[in-house]
Amino acid sequence: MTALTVRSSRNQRLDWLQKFVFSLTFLATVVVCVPVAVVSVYVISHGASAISWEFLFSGPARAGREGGFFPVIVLTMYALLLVMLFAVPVGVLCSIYLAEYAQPGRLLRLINLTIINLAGVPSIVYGLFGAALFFDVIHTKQALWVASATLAMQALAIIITSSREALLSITPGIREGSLALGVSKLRTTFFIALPEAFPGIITGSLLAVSRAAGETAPILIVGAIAATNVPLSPAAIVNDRPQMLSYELYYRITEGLGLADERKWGLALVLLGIVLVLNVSALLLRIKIQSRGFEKRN
Amino acid sequence: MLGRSVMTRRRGALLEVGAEWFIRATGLLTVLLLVSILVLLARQGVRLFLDLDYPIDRFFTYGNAITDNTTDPNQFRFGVMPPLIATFWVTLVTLIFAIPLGLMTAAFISEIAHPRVRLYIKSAAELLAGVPTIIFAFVGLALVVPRVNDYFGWGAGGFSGLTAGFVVSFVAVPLIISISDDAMQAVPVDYKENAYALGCNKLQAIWCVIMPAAISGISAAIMLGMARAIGETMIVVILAGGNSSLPHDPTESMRPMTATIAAGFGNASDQSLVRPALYMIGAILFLLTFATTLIADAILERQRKRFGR
Amino acid sequence: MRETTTPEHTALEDGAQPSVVSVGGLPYQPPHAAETAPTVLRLENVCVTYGGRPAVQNVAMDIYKNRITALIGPSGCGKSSLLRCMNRMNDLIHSARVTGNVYLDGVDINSDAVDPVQVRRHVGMVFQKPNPFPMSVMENVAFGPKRQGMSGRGRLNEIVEKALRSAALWDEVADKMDQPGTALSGGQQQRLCIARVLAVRPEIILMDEPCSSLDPVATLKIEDLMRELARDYTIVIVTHNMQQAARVSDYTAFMLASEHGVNGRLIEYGATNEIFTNPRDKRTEDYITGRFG
Repeated sequence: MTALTVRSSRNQRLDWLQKFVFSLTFLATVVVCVPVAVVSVYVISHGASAISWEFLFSGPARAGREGGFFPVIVLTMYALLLVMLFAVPVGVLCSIYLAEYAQPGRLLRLINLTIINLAGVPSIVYGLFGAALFFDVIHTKQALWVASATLAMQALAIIITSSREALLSITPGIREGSLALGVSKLRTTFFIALPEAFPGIITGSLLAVSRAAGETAPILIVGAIAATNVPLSPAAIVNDRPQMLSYELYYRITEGLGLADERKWGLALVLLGIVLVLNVSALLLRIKIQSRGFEKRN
Repeated sequence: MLGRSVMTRRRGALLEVGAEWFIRATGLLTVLLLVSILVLLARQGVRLFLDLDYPIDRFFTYGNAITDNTTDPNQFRFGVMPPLIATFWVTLVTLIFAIPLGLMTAAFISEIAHPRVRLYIKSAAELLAGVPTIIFAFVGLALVVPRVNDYFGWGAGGFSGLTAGFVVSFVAVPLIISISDDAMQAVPVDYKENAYALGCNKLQAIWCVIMPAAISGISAAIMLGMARAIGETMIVVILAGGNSSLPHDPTESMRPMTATIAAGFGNASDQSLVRPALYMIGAILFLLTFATTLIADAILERQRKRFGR
Repeated sequence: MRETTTPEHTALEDGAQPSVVSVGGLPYQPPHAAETAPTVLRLENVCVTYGGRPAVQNVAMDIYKNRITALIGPSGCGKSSLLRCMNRMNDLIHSARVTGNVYLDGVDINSDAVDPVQVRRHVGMVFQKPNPFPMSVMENVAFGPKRQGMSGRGRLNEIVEKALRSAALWDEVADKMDQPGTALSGGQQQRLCIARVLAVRPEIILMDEPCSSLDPVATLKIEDLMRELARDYTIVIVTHNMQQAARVSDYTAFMLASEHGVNGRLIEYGATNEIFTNPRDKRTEDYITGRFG
């Protein structure tokens, strides 16, 4: 018998190849992780000095070169709130249909394919659609509503997918127990299944809203040209062109005029902060749900 | 007595039936949304040829895509080819960077590293996917563009399809990692154990058994990463350079489809030919990503069938 | 060349009787005094834990060349875990810890100097569920040899045919070599998996409940095949089916998950006909007569 401790030259070559390839994959992993660090460190180191009470909570002066971006931040919050109000109810109802009511068959297959495709539609196409629908078909000029509704349409796919997953992952026994007590299917869904799936639905909604906060392209289309006078009072915002944080940042990057770099990075930092807070809370919530499921299984 | 009780309707039963139909209707709403996106875009776009008399052959063959505010179809110098080719170059560059990075990372976290590492890296990838692309574009503008200009001198002062594609690859990578990792995890443990029991080392098991078994999921991951690259807007608007003529290689300054729409739409006047032309590009963009997603899903469906999950 | 062979084990290779040693408090009994076949695999003080939970405890036994050894016992008694110690398959489970010595021809396969990949080329394994790779029949069988660097269409064909003939499958698949292995029937798939292992030319074949997902006819075919294979190979089989152990094996080891939560003790190990007709231990007798299990 060939000795187990002796490696043939071929085996040695294989071992080296394996070591080499594995180091490459490790390297690739590091390369993938680096941008997370580089982006956050770069944005923080360049933008942190611009952040001040004034920057966050006061109106602009001299076309944004001085003062702060409070209206932009407030408007972003409004818009995100509206996105949630539009997208979450519709998304959750749709996921209820898919998880609780739909029978397997062609229609379900069609809807599932539709949702996958909705998630894959480029954001700028949503922008074009929003512009066509609201300006040319419905003829509204309420820019904030239009922007929020457009972003909400894009958010729909994410919310539906994650809510459906959450509903489907509930132990069937819970539903059957309720049905066996003579509770109707609708009530079972709303009072038993939905609360159980609640954390999953919140996770999906947070992710969708954080996506919406960062989206620039649709706003670019429906908001068309940037407004120069940023309104301070909430009432004025409703009647003005949307000037969401992401778009403000784009506008400041490309306008080519004298906004100090530091202030641009400050804007980027605020945007990144909002997005990361939403993202990280979604992530933590999901890890918590997963570990809870894990405990249940064991 | 009992029979009659069973026969009687509960109070509010009618309301519930109504609510259930409402829920069903929201399910169909998604289909309506997708269909109306295509119909509305096409309707707005086809005006260019029907109402505004822009020659259709010129739209598909002309080698430039200048978005001037003109109402005269003879003065309009616009063809879809340059943006389409530009999108092709950017997507190609993205995939060249993203496929090896994404697949190697997926193999590392799925098969080589400790399961805990997998959790961390997947979370990091998710955060990476969540960073707004405008921020990627801004960081790319500050870090990548000057270096591309200094070392290679490509495009217009470092703004080129390659610069944009490189940055876009970091947007596509998390998607590729996440889906191909799922695919490798779905490969039955039996396959791995058998491979090892036949005297494979780990590399052989990954390369000869796990990767081939997960090939559908991996190709779907690549397709979806591709769809992401095709649809990415802010990075290409800011980093690709913006030259509207036909690009011959990825190192040139160029203006892909998404950037053409984004840059042209705001300045277009209502009567000009620009908006219909951009809607047309939007419709083509939609069909491109639609086809890519459909193919990816068909491939994934095959994998799901094979492993029964 | 680094051989860790000790004089004691060299003696074993010559077919001498193993000396009686006490391992982990259990008296070590040579299973069969009249056995003349040499020991190929000797387990000493083998313990396995999964995430700290013991699955196998202080097992000591000898596996004899060209004999079929069956591991029986109630489910959860650690017989599969013990089997996986014999070709270091437990390495693949993150939470698993294996201690003790497993000597393959005198070399401790658990030692750091030993390459587990090399071990598995000498000790092949067939699993519970027949699971051909998603490739053709030909590629399935040629998989192992190819990974060891064999190439050349003619040479591979030869090896594949030989393996398939040994697995009594050649006549059934000779004209289906390019079809996917998954298209065969369950019994054929399992024999394909056996052929796949044979193509690597191991000395020992471990079988983890190889018939549990097969119908009775296919099961009988595999059992016949095992008797055939025992001429050239040493076989260790885990089975929950006592009749199967009685039918095919030369030696039987009975394991038990103890009532005090102490898992994976080897209760009795001896020649199959002795274990089944005249068990020394009361618990073995109870299990075999179906009084518990």
